[in-house]
Amino acid sequence: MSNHNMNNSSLITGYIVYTLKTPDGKDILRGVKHFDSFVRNFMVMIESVLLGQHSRFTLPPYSNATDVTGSSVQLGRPSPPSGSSGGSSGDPYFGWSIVADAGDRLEFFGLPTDWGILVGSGDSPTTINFWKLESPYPHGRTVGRMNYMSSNITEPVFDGSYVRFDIKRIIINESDATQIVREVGLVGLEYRTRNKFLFARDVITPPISMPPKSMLEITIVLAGLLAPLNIFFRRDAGVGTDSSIRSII
Amino acid sequence: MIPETEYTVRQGKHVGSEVSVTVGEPIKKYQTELKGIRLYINLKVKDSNENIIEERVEQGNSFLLNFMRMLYAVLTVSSYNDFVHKGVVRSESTDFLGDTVTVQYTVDGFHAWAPKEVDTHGIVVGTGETMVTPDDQELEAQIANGIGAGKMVYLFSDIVPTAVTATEAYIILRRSFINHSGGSITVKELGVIVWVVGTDKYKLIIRDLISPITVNNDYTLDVQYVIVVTV
Repeated sequence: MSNHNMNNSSLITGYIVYTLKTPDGKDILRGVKHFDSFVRNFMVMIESVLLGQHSRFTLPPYSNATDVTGSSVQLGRPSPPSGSSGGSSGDPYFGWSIVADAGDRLEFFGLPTDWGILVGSGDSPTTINFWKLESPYPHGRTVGRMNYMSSNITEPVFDGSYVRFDIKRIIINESDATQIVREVGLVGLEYRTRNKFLFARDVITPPISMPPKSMLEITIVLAGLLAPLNIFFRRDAGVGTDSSIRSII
Repeated sequence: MIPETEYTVRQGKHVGSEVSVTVGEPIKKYQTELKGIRLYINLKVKDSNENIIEERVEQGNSFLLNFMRMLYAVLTVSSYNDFVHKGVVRSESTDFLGDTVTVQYTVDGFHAWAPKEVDTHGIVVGTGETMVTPDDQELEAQIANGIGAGKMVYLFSDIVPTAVTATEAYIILRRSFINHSGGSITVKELGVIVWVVGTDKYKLIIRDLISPITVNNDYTLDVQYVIVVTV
């Protein structure tokens, strides 16, 4: 692909908009950065969706994806999910959810909680074959954990400039210690197998320091640019970099 | 604690890319290299002896709203009862530009491949030159499959599996078109149509205008759409 060395004017890109709030909801930090690290799993997902399956044609095998346990598996060729009666006729072969419900609710139903928008403390640069967050915070209320609330997603729209949809999740540090968020990931739960796949991951620089009981609202915007619009404006009082949009807690 | 300065983040019009502060210097303009899902088009015209007459790479410019709807559909699937969201089953169906697509219609995927001589889906070519709009549903003037005036023979439209380089992962959608019309044909627009098997509908997900490329009689046009993600 190195021969495609040109500026590209059309793409589907992403942004993370994050807001750190006090327990009573007061904003103490806002930031925005590119969410630009879609990993190989994402492309395998696109491949499998566009290839699909057909009852009469023998299609070539899909590429394997790597789930969050490190297992190399094929998307869309599921075995029945553990703990369920299995899929019935008509269940989707191609489907993932990134819209995770509240961690507590998922636990109540005995479902995995480590999917959707997740945060972690790892800061290694993302590489194309990343398959999990480096050091994710699991769901919980003690030190080393985060309380993941439910997610909200908007339907795709054309807003005049972009074709886009947004997904949002609030994450609370319920522990009595300050915890640092250095990475954000988007993990899809496969509908039938309940395998989980990291589709994108980004390192937040500088890290977000979450005081005890503070809330972090993360919105990931997936937006398609239809025209050469990859010029944007930023009014910046500081040094003209992302770092200057931060405030001091 | 009160922040040092007050910021506003405009999430609407500029999808979060515009950040402004209440105090500061004049607006600075940044040209950045955004990452994400990118699109390239490789074009090749060959004569009847397979000699390459013209070859070029163009930027793909136009992921349509339908593409985002497809992404949305496959990333928001749920219908097991235990996937309820606040007591309401989410995403049982989603409007797919006028068609209500229940999740089960993702069973067979969104076929971007197509057998030869099938011009309903896969990569398609046309002669239209009207500017792309986000909700385009078809090429402006698609060239039909066949032999005869104004037609081209559509060969198999297939998908090359995911490959990776040090920083990229990509797939290639490719198709060849043979001109047996008896005259030259100038291709000005390209697109990708997927067959939504569950609803038996065809949806245009990508459309691009290209610099016109002329395909003489008995010549072949090879088209590759390369979809890339970069870290």
